[in-house]
Amino acid sequence: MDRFEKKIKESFQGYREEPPAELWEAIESKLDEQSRPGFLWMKIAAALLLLVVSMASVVLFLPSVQQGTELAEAREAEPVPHTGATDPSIAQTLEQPPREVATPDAASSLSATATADITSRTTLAALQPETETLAGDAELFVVSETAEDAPITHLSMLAHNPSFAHFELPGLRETSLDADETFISAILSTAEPVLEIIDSRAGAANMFALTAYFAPQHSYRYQRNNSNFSFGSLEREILSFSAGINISYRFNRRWEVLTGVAYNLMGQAINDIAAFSHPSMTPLYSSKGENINQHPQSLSTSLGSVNFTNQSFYFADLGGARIATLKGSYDDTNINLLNKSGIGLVQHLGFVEVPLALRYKVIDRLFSVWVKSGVSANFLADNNVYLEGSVFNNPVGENVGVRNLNWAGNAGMAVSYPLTARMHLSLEPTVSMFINSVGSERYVASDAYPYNYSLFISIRHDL
Amino acid sequence: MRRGFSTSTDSKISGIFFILLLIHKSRLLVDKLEKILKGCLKNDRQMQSHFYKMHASVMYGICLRYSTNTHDAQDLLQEGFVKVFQNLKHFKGKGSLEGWMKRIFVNLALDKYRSSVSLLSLEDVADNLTRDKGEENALDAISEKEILDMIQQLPDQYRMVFNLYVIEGYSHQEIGELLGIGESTSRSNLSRAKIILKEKIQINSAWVEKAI
Repeated sequence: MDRFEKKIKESFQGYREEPPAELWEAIESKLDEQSRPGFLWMKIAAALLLLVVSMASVVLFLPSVQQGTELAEAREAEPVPHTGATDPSIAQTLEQPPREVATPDAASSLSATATADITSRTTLAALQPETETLAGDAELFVVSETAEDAPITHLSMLAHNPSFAHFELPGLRETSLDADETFISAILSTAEPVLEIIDSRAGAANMFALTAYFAPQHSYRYQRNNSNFSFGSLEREILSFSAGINISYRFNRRWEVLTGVAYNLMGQAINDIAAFSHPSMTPLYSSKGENINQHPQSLSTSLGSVNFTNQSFYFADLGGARIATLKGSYDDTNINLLNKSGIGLVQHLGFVEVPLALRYKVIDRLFSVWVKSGVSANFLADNNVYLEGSVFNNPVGENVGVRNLNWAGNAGMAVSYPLTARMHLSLEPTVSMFINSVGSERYVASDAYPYNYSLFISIRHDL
Repeated sequence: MRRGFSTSTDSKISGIFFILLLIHKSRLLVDKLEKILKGCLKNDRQMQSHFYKMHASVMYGICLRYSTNTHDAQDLLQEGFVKVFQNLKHFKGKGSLEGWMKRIFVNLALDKYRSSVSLLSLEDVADNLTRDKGEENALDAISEKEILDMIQQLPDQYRMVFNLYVIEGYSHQEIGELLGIGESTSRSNLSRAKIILKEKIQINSAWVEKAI
């Protein structure tokens, strides 16, 4: 150790400095927190428990009350033609025994009317855990009897699988299977209450559905074969939308097919293109004193050329050499007299879309989850280029060589929630992409495939 | 007739009394320390407060040396004392309590900076500084607080090595293991730290002379 180091060491060997007085309080509070062992974990555990309990109560309690009441009302309003337990009212149900089932001793009790308050719902497995069943594929809707009512002895339930015909319940005597294998009737031999039909024909009767949707989407394009020229950072995505209506047909409780019609707006933004114009917006181009019919400039983009149409603007490329300007047949305008109107352009391609898709219900609970996939035909309906900041207002050009008919593939999922017995709200994240290059021009030797990331917000009504 | 004791006897008796008093006071102090420690182990806030007051100023000095500013030093002090109280039960009495506490604070400081600091040797930014042999005299003219400020202004990696080698007394090999650097990197970091400090000290003394 040299002398410098020794001096420093001696200076700091016993060095002291008083810390601020309030520091002890901060230390004390940290010690207090830690002296309660597992306090933080207890807080986390309590919060999680509260979350689980509240979610469970929403899932288990509220919807069954709401749904059952709604469905009961729906059944009363719209009687479904079916035997036995699907009659709108319990009285009718009880007066009309189900097919192939005899109801001897219980007949007297069957004549009682009852209004049902749905108090809970449970799965078959929960009701009879020892029974060999395919639990999870059917739901029982449990009804509590009112004091003055006779016990309801009639059971029906939604059955997703014909194998449910082979289940057993305590006191259950006989079952029968509906012709289309979506409905099972059963009779209890005892006065065990609590069984009610909840729109068991829903799966069979409600085959068609109408859906209206609006989908904000992120729209851009995939540029393939960009070895000759990559537009890269010269272009970027835009926020657009699609909206339409679909009609769907349900094969069974899981599968359905849909089609419809929609308006699908796609496109992209072009960076670093400056637009100049005269303050009075007078046309800038003339040939020997006369206005020319065609704007002398065009722009190269990944979606193909853009021919400018608005002769009040002169365009300059700040990021490259994408603009071509015809010379010789017109008088150049004096750019120094012009003001800059803006930077950036937006290409819009509006299509009328006709989709064809399959949907499969993966989860069938309060929240249903579907996966979907399909194709769509896209007919070109709108083709405009705007100044950024004046979108949908006064187009300055149009995209050249866009195919009139384009094909796209799409895939996604849907999470739906029943608003009423027949109406559902769905959120559907979906991705779609053109499977053909949108531009027929190939001079830049790049293929552009527009794509969307969309979030469909839809309301579906079962017909 | 004798008038009391002689001077030499007086002084002997005084000396004995003084020693006894010292011993008594020491025992009182030891008893007090034991009481404080036992209280700390039982999480007695009052005892912990006494313990803190006894050691805070020394530990704060260490925190200031390892930090770049007072705010960080105060954070380090808080964390250090919390860790000391949590681990007091593990103190076996081998070595001094203060030395044990110092190691906790130094390790915490290293942990704090290890993740955010590149401890590789910096480029030669200080090699062209003049090396004046008069820095040792200049050192006498400035206060510890000013030297502390200069240490705080060192780049993190230089400051760590400087503190560990010069003040804590670690070897370069030990520093290399602590900081995950090579021994030669530790040496060159120390050398550059010293050059920077000497330069600052000289500048400071030149200003002082001018002021005078």
